Amino acid sequence: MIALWYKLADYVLPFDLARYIFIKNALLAVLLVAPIFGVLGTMVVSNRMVFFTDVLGHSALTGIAVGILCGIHDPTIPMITIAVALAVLVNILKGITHASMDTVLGVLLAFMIALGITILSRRGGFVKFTIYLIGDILAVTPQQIAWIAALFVIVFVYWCFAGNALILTSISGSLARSRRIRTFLVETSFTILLAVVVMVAIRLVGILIINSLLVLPAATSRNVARSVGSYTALSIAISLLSGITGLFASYYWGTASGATIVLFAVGCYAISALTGRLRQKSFI
Amino acid sequence: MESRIGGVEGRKPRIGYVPQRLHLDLDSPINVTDLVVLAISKRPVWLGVSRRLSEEAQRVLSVFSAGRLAKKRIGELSGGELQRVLLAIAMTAEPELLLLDEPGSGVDIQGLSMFYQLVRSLREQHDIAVIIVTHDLAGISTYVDRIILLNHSVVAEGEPGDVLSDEKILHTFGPSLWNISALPTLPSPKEKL
Repeated sequence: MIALWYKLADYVLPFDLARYIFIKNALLAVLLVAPIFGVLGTMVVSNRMVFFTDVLGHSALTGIAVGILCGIHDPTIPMITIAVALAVLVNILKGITHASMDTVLGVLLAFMIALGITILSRRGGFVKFTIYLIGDILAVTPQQIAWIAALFVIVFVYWCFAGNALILTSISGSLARSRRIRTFLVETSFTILLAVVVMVAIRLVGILIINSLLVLPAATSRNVARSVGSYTALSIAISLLSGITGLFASYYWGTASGATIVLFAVGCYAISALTGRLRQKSFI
Repeated sequence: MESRIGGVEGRKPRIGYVPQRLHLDLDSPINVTDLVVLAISKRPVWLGVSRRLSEEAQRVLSVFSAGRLAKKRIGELSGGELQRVLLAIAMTAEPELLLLDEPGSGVDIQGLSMFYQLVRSLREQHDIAVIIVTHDLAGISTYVDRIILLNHSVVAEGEPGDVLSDEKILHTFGPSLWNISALPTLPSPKEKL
């Protein structure tokens, strides 16, 4: 499979880039991750979960720390476990707590970061984990790409089956329940999927900016979209556009790919916010 | 929930529900057609709406004279328009029981009385039971068979004429009922019909 992609990439990429296997790997990773983020982001933004996904991203620190305490070499499994547990916990808390969710998430964020850093910084060893903070998409391995490809398929299938229920739940929970949609199940399954995706992608883009990549394309699309179809399609397109341009720009500029991609996404957001406003004005 | 609605004991009735305007995310980038298609089809709406489904949605809407709203974002609808769209969607469930939660919020007096008339004609045509939860006692009283006044528990129950003329109740519910003969609710200035 991957050999086929390498051949194809030779035709697509400019010559100076096509020489490097790592660029081809990174490009394939972006082509797979960007649509996933574009799609999931639409629900993150619609359900006002931006702060939650930020907490989710930072819980990776705790996951890595727990992995080290347990003596596990590859932290992916403990990271996913912690993130999924956090996702379920937040969903349950949302239903029972009287405190503002904003505050609850703030406390969880503090706890996740502090616990992670405390364990990882033991004997001054935090430096070797900074790669997780900014990520390195150019170091992506074919094995990681296979994981992402599997998630790509899972997200697509999930969205085909649960997408409608998610959309209706986000517009009105009571209306969804009146149509016999089990809203708790729908929302929990979505946050679990989100937790897995974020943990698998975090090695590529980093804890500090993963949330921006999740939120910006959908937020951009929301400024101009007038239907569910265009909201989703535009979010995917913007995610891909900023992903690809950001990746190439970071190569030529010698900068961190994740952050460069985010800058392009912010650019798209600014343009959409302006067009959205102009359009609103012309209505009046 | 046990019920006798639909004539079969112990079966849950099919419910058509019209939620409160307040409980809807009106900022959502979703248009009226999408919202109807969510109710009438299992096809994933995010992949786009086929022409066939779009026409079907149009048919559902035009019964409630809301056909021209099909391409509008739900946030662009007036209070009255939104109520008609939500009612159209509730009726796609072919309900035996229609539940309306504060249908008067964001709708002006004239629009509201048109809406109540619409609901009454639905009740007669489709043989359905209708429950309306409202604070608009005065406006609703000419359209309903029974009124149940709730204030933590059932305060009064009966035909509108009896309930609303009871002096004890008048005392408990105070000014909101004294105003019945005067102007019951103020139209919201933003409302356009």
